[in-house]
Amino acid sequence: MTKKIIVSLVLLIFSSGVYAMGIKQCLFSEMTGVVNFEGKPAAGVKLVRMVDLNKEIYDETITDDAGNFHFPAIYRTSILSKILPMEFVVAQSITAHFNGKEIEMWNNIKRTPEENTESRGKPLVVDCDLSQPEFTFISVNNNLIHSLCTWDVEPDPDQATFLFGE
Amino acid sequence: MSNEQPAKVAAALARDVYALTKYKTQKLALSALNNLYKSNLAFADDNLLTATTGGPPGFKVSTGFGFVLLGKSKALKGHAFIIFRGTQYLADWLTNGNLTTSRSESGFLVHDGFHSAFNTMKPRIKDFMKVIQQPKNGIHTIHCIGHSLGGALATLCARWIGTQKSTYLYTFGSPRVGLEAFAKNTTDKLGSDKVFRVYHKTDPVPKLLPWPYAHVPASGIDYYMYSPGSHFSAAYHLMPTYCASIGARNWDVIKGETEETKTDFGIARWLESKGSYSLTVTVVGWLEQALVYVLKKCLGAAHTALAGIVGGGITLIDKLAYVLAKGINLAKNISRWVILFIKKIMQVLGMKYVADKIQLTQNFIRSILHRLQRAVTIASQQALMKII
Repeated sequence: MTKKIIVSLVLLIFSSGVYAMGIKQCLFSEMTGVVNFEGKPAAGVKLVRMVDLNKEIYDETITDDAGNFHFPAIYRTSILSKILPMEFVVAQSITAHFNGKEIEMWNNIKRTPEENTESRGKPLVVDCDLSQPEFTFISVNNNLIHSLCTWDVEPDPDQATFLFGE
Repeated sequence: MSNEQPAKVAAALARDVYALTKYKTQKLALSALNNLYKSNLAFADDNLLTATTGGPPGFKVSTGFGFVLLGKSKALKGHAFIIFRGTQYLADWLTNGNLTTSRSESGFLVHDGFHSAFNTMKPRIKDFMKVIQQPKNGIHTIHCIGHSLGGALATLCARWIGTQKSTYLYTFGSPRVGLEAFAKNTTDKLGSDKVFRVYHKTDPVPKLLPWPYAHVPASGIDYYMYSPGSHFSAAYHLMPTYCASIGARNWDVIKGETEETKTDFGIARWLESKGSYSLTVTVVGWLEQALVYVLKKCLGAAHTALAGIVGGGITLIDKLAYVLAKGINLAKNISRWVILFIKKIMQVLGMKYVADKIQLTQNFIRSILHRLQRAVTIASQQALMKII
């Protein structure tokens, strides 16, 4: 008992705040793509992007005549703060303003701080279809993406099968 | 038959609670859960994710602190899972050096920050317990799971549920939660075979909080996992890293990895050794154990009750310096070890020990211990700057 108490005793000296500084994290990977509706390019569609790490940030773009759009990457550098290493959990969405309706076409919980992990390192080039009635779900590097878009990527192996078997 | 969950299942839940509580709509959270876990697990209640608690100033649980899942498959019928996420709020609390304790409902001293946070969650957890108690759900086993500060909350939750049901506790990179009596009592209540504490060698968080805080389980098995390098690493605290380290391995296999325990003989040899050391996780480990070794000698010889150095307004470093300085004035076979220990610290810190010029007073020893503490802080800071 006494031994156990002393064992714990000494750790105060070695326990101290943990620091992090200047760590660059990608909150939203650069994204290019095309927006379609019923097989045709949707031109002049306002796309509103939201990123939420601790607070929500918005920006927007408009699709060109061929339905093309581009969002630049969003990075943040966490400046010196006395923090514990925290899980990286960023909520993302892109909402299309189309025919008087707001259609969410991208929803991702980004769990990796590197850029382009949603496409396993390749540039993220998406093909989105606003006429799709339901989201498609895909997990890539444990980024959990619900979207009306497709892109060239291999999804993670099925987690339920890994955890619980067939 | 044991009802414990495999390591990979507990780890996946401890990781996915972060994403699942981040969703702004229940619909998406449900969709993600169904896609990730198929029909094996379901939320216990449709409203769980909207749980918000008032809490102390600055504490908003707008994204939810966790949730309860019920087993749905044949294998998981009768199992409930209470899963907690870590929060920045608790992280700030943990690092501001506040070591204040509060008395838990069971009467044991636990960290005030965790206690307060858990109390704000209690009304919701009581609601969850009502669901769990409903006969139609037929729940016989509860699994409390959490990573980092969520591990601390899971620990408090498991103790709070106590023996109402068969309760398992799984923590990943958790800090210490309560004092020794709490750790011991919680271990006894749950049974040490129902506690799975997983930690990486270089994860800095399990090193927090300091004595007299102690880890649960207080006895039995710890699930130590090797991580490379000899410096503290923030990356090895993160849940995806824990999942990768665990892979598909089961508890019995992980159990095979054990942290090197140092014998008294080994510690004595290390203190006497002439080698040159710098401040690495390995050397910090040696210094921790060497301090225990030397303190035991001092306290044993002086017949000083440990109670004498606990409590009171002075800092722990003051107390340690006091005990070590006393040791200097005891028999030669005691003072020798104190001197070797101080010499070793000075050598690690790059200081020169000149026997004639240095008086090992309480003040001097205290200043050496303070310098060591600062050096360890700076070392972990530098290590963290290198990640990502």
